[in-house]
Amino acid sequence: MTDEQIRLDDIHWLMNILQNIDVGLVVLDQQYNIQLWNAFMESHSGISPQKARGQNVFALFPEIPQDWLQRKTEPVFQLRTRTFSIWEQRPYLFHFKNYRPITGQAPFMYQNISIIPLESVDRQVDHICLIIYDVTDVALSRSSQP
Amino acid sequence: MTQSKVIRLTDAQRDCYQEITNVAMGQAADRLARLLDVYVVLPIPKVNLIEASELHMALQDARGDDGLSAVCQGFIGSGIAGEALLLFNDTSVQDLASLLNYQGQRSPWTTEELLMDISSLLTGACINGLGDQLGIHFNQSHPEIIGRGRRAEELLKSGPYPWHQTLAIEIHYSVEHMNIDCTVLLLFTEDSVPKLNKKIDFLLD
Repeated sequence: MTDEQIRLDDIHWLMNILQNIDVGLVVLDQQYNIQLWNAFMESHSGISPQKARGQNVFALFPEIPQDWLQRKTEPVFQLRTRTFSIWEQRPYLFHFKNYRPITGQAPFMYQNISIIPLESVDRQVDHICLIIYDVTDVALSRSSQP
Repeated sequence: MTQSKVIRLTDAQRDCYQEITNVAMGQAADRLARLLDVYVVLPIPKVNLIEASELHMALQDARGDDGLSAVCQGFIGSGIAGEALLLFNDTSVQDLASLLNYQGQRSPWTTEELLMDISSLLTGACINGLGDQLGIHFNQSHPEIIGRGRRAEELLKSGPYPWHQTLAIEIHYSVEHMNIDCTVLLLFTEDSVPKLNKKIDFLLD
C-alpha cells in the first residue's frame, strides 16, 4: 500500500517536472503523430496538449521541412541512435518567439534539438522524443563577437 | 593542488579495453553500413595512455594527412567522462555527401550536417556499445565542429591542459572500394580511468 503511494507520488512529481522544465519535449510515433506535448511547447506555440495530441506534426507545423526532419529521425527509429540539430546548422525547428520579447535582440528562439529513441516494453522503438533547448543567449553572444 | 597519481594499465586491462571496443565499434560499423548501404572495414583498435604533452603527436600519428575536418562530442555517465573526436579527411566528406545526396532530394545535406550526423552516429554507437558492456548509461552532448580543412595538429589549442594523462582509444573506419575513411578517438579523463579500470577488472574476473 505504501509502495503504491510512493509510486503515485513519483509519477505526480515527474509530471510536475515535465510540465515545469524549461525544455521542450515532444514525443512522436512512426507516423509523426504527436503523442506528448509538454507545457514548454504549449506556452511557446499556443497549442494545447489536447489539440496537439494525435495530430501530425507536419500538418500542425507546415513550415517544418519534412524531408529534413525525416532524415534526422529515421536513424533514431531504425538504428536506435541519437541525432542532433544545432542552431548554427538550422536556427530553429519550431518557429517560437524569443523568450525576451521586449528587451531581447533575437527575432525568434534559437534551438538546439536532440532526438532520442524511446524503447517500449518489447524493446521496439516505436516512438522518439524531440528535446528542444532554447539557445538564444548562446547564439546572440556568439554572433555579437567580432 | 593535489598531484594526481600516474595511471597505468596492465596488459590484461589493455586487452580487455581492446576487446570491448571491438564489440562496440562493430555495432557502430553496422549502423554506418546500414545508413550508407556499404561494407565497412574495421581494424583492431589501439588503446593507449597519453600524456597531455603527447596529445598533438597522437593526433598527428592517427591522421598524418592534410585537409582534416573534426567533430567533437562530449559524453558522461556514472562519473565517467570523456570526449569523442571524429577526424575525417575532406575527400571522404565529399564522397560521403555524394553517397547520401540522392537525386530528387529537396534539401541536400550540407557538409556540416553530414559531419555532425555521422559523428553522432559513430560516437553514439561506440560509447553506447561500451556502456552496455560496462553497465554505464552515457549521455551525449551536441556535436561541435572544431575544425575544417586543417592538419591534425592544428585542430586543438596547444596546452597547457588542466590534466596530465588521458586514456585514448583509437578506432579507424574505412569503407570498402571507396575513398572514405575516418578516425574516432575516444579520450577519457584521468579521473575516469580508475573507475573504468575497476569495471574492466570486474569483467576480467
